[in-house]
Amino acid sequence: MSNDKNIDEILNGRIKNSLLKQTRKNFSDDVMKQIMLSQQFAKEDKKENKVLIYLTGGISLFIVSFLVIFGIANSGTETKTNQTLNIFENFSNLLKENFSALYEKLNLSFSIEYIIIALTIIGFILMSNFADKIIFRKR
Amino acid sequence: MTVKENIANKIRSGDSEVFRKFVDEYKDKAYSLCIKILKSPEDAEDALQESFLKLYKSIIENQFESNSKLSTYFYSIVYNTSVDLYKKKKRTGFNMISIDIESSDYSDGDELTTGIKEKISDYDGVNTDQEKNFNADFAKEIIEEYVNNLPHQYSIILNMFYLNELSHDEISKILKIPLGTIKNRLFRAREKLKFLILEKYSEEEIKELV
Repeated sequence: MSNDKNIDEILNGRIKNSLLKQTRKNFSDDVMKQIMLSQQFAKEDKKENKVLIYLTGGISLFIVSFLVIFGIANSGTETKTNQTLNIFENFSNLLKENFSALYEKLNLSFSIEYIIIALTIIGFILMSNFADKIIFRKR
Repeated sequence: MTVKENIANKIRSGDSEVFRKFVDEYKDKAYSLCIKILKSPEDAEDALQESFLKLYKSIIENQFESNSKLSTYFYSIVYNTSVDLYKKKKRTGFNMISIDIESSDYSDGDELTTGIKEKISDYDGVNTDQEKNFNADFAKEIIEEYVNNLPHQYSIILNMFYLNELSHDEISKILKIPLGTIKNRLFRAREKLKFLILEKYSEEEIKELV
């Protein structure tokens, strides 16, 4: 019985040795480099997300405050539905006026095409940023 | 707090040197498991690298529960990542069960010794003292060849048990195979090897040679 156990122990040791395969020499270095890179990406993502949150938050706050201010300023004798319509009307008029003024200063003519082009560029930037984060960095 | 929990906590606090030590300690044992699944050194390294990254991420993001063993958790990542890569490359499923279902007539373990029996029978054996070194090498070679030619349904379990030092229960959970099957395959693989060796060498010779 103890002889049998002895042989089992010897064979177990040999099996273990036969199973073991070795990685290349600088494998650990490569893993650590990958980890450092992923940490760096994570930090950058965090920063970008923070900026994006502040930016969208700021824009939303700006729009909401405009709506509220105009709502208060236009509250008068008209009915509630008309008031709401007026708020949007005033707001879009204000945007148009400001954009027209800005475009005039830049020597451009104000038209809906420019807005579409601007929105497309913004959309493209956002999409490429999203693709970079989700698709390319995962490779 | 156990040593392994300590490792996870240290890694979480940004101590990358601790993680490097973990990589150094487990890379070869885990690589051996990847190779058994993927059969290609390049794919095995890719899977292993990805596994270490996944482990690091799950520690940092607190997905690793401190009440489980870090090494067991890591080996389950290694197994799943390798199987996923296998499926992606070969575009087929990875079957750990098939041998028992499809090959019920393999009860004598013949599927474990394909190609090795001939090698052993071709070899006459040498018993003089001068030839003992050669004899020892041959015994080692038989074991090496036997282990490396086992079907993956056996070799992965052997790898997990002997090299990765996982318990029967842990292997059963990772592979999602009944505990009885794990014990049975380990027993059969070991007994067949013992039988092969004892066919050629006496017990005394084995102790001297191997």
